[in-house]
Amino acid sequence: MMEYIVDAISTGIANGCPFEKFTLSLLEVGPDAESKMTQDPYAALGLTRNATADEIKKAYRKIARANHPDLNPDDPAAEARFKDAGRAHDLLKDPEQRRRFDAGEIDATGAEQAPRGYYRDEARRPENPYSQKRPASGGDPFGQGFDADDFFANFARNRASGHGDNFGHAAPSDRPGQDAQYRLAVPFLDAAIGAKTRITMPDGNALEVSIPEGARDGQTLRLRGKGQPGFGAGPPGDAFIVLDVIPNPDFQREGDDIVVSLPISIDEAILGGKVPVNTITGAVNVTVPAGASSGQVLRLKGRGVKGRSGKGDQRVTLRIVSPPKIDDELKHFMESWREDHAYDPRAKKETS
Amino acid sequence: MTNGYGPEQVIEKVASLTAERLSYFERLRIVTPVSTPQGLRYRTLDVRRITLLCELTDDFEVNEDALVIIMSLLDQLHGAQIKLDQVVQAISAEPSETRVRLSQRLQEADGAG
Repeated sequence: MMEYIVDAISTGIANGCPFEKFTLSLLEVGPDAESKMTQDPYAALGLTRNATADEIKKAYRKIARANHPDLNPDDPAAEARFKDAGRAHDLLKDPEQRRRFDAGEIDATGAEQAPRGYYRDEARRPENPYSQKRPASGGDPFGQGFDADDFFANFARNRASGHGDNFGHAAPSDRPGQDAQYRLAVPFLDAAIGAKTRITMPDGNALEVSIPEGARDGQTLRLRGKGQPGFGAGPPGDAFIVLDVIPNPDFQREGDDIVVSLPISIDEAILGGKVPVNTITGAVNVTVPAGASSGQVLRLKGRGVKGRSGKGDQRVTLRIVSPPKIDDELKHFMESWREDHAYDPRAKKETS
Repeated sequence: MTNGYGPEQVIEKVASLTAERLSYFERLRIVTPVSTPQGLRYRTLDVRRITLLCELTDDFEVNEDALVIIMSLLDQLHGAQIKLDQVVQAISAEPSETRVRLSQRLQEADGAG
């Protein structure tokens, strides 16, 4: 068995409150954990040394079935049993390895592998595309136009019942086709300003997709009637497309604002002036005020991304960059300037 | 997210995966790779999902129909979990009177059920 540090942090308000948040972190405990693994792999499978290959396989499957971490999401003991059995099976399934272990040539850690990750660790993230097939059920439930009654009713009913199976409404033989799910990588700028693209479907046909202006990472588009064909006189299903926005090295998005960093020269910082800066729709000139500092933010109104409440802004963070080479002229000028004009930019900060 | 694995890399990463098996999972629509200008790409999420699918197929001897049902249930379970997390988070941001009231209501609901 492996050792775990189970760290439960309770921020609840009263005993028995269901909204207590538990953070359960599983940490393998240093080298001690290794020594625990040297236990007998036969014991991990509940077998003895004279077990047959078939018995080993059966015993492993039985343990794996009952303890798979993805099917026992919140049981660390099951995960430990699964891991131990997996390690034991890895070691014993190969006759040569088993012989070497039995002969004492290798120990039970001989087959130790890098820690694997489980699907559940990824699947619990809100952006899991497999668990947000319908736009209504994913993303921010409390966004604009949010109807609490609707939300809770949907939540309670669960998605499956609303999944296009309109039993009772149409003749049993006429049923809507299945919905189809796709995931589409979208370059940052295409998502920001909108674009048309196509997806090649598994059957080889292409599906035209219009990316709306201001599309967000993880947003789901619904193309009505673009899913699987219906049964009988039933309508075709819908296509749901989860967008995966590819980051851009120059632009960051914060809400509907675009955030960029703009390098400026020392003279531009001191004297001010017009400096070109890229926006999502092309370059514009921005006025840098005289005496600008690094970290100062200029706001270009309406140069952001189209959102629910109009267009966002572009925020430009200035960054002063020294000349690549400090020549004598600049050096001498600074030396003489400093004699009479020294200032302390750290005056208000505590330095140690 | 930018990078992902190409089909060959995924097949290399997941020991019991073959090209046939991968396209079989995709035909069953239980694996949905991301369409990118460079072709299909798989994220860590997909690789782990594929690993689980291979295990279900090999160790559990799950057949095609059951595999689709298991994944649908698992997706619903995770979806419900994600939504519940959001609800709990939203509630924990509420003032304590609200939380106490909700907590009492939940205990009542528990007692009734």
